[in-house]
Amino acid sequence: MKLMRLFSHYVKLNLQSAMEYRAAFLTQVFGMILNNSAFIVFWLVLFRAVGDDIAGWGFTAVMFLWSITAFGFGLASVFLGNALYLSRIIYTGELDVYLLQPKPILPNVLWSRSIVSGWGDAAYGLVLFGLTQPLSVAGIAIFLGFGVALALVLTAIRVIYHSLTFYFGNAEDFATTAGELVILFSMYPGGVFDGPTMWLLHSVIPAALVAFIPAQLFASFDTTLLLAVLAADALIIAGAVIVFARGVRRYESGNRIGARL
Amino acid sequence: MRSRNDDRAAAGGRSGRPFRVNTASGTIARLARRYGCILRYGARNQLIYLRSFIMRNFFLIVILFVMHRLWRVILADGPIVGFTLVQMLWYLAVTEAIELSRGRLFQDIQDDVRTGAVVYTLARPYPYPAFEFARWFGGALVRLVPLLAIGFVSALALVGPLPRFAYGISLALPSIVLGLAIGTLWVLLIGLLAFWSEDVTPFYWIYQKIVFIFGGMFLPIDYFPEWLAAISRVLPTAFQAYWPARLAVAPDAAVAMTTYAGQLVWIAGLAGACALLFAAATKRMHAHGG
Repeated sequence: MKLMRLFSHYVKLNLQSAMEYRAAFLTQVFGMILNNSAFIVFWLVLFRAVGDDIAGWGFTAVMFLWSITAFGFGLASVFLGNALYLSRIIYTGELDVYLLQPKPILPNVLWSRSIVSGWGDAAYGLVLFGLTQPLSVAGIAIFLGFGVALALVLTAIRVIYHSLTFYFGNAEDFATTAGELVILFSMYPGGVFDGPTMWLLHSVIPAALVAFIPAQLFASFDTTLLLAVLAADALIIAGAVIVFARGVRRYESGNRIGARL
Repeated sequence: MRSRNDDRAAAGGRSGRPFRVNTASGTIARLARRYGCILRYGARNQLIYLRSFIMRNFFLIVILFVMHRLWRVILADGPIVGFTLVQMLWYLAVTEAIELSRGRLFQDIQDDVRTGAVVYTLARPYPYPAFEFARWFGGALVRLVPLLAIGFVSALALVGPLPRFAYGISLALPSIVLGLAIGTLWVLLIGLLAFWSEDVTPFYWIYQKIVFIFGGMFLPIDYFPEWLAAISRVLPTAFQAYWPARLAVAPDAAVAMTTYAGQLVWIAGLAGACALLFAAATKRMHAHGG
C-alpha cells in the first residue's frame, strides 16, 4: 500500500514536471508517434513486394509485435525511466541519496525518473493496436497485460545488466545495448530466427518471452503457454531484484553531496 | 576602393614583413588548413571513447545478423527487384555504416544555444556552423572506417563475397564520404533550429525516419511503387545512403558520375541553407552582462 502511494506520488510529480514545459512535452510525444509510424511504411512496402507471408508472419501479426513493443517500451520509459540511467547513478555515487531515504531502494530509484517521449511510444502502441488488430475483450486483455509484462521484463533486463556496474565498473554501454537488443529483436517476425538464436531470445535477450509468445497467444490462446511465459517473466524479474540487492551490498559510497529536488 | 588591409600590406605591416595578399588559392589553402585542423581534432576526440566505439560496432553486427535472417527468408526463392541476398547484405552494411557513423551534432548546438555559449563563438575567426560541421565530419570519418570494415567482414561471414567488390568499393567510397557530408549537414541544419525550438530532438527523430524510408536504409528504394521510387531517388536522403550503397553492390561508372554530381549539388544546397539559417539565427541573439 505504501509502495503504491509512493508510485502514485512519483507519477504525479513526473507528469507535473513534464507539463512544466508543455510545448516540449507535446513536441516529444507527437514526434515519437511520427517517428514510429515510419516503420509501418517499411513493413507495408515490404509485404506488398514479397506477399503477405514472411516465415509464417503476416502484416497484421507483425503490427501486433510493433504495437505491444511500443506500448511496453513506452510504459517502461514513463514509469520506470531511471532503469536506463542505473549505471550512471551507481558509478557517480548518486545512489547515496536513495540509500538514505526510508523507502525500498530499487522501486525508489526506478520510479524517480520519467522519459517524456515514452508517452508517445505508449500512445502509438495503443493506436496501432486499435487500428490493425481484431478487437475483442480477451484480445485487449492479452495486449494490455503483456504490454505491462514487457515493461517489467525490459526494466528487469536493464536492471540486471546495469547492476554489473557494481561488480565490474561502468557497464553502461553494454547494458544500454542489451536493452536495445531486446527491443530490436522483438520487432521482427519470430519465425525468421532459429537454432541458437532462439535460445538467446528466450533467455539473455528475452524478445520471444515479451513479444513472440504474446503474439502467439493473441492469435490462439493456450493456458499452459500463458502460465509458462508468466513464470519465465517472473523469474527474470526476481533475478533483477536479487542481482541489484546483492550489488548494493558491494556498493561503496563516493561521499557525493547532492540533493533531489 | 582600397581597404585598410591593402594599405597595411603595401606598408609591410607592423613587423616589417610584407602581408600576404589574399589570392583565391591562398584563401582556399588557409581555409583548408583551418578546417582541416578542426577536422583532425574531431577525429582524435573519437578515438578516446573506445567503449562506445566497440558497442556501436557490435550493434552493427547484430543488426546485420537480424537483417540476414529476415532477408534469407524473403529472398529464399531468388532475387526480388534485382537484389540477391549477397547484394542485399552488402548494401545494408554500407547504409548502416553511413548511418551509424554520423554523430548527434544537433545536441551540442542545442546545448550551446540553451546555455548561451553560442554567443562566445561569434567572436571567433570562423563561422560557428562551419566549425561544428568540420568537427563532427572529422569524427564521423573516424567512425566510418571501422564500421565499414566490420560491416564488410560481417556480410562476408553471413553471405560470402560480393562480386566485383574492388571495383564497386572504389566507385562507392567517394560517394560514401559525400553521403556522410550530406548527413552531417542535415544534422547541423536541425541543430540550428534550436534557435527557434526548445528541443530539436523530435526533428532529429523525424529526419532519421525520413532517411530510413526515403534514403533506402533498410529497404532499397527499388522496392517502392514506381512513382514513389522516382521521387525518392532524387531526394538528398537517397544521395546520403541509397546511391552510395547501390554503387557498391551494382557498380556502374556512369551512375557513379551522376551520383557524385547529385551529391555535390545537395551539399551546396544544404550548406547554403545552413548559412542562411545561422544568419537569421544571429539576428535573434541577445547578449546580457559581460
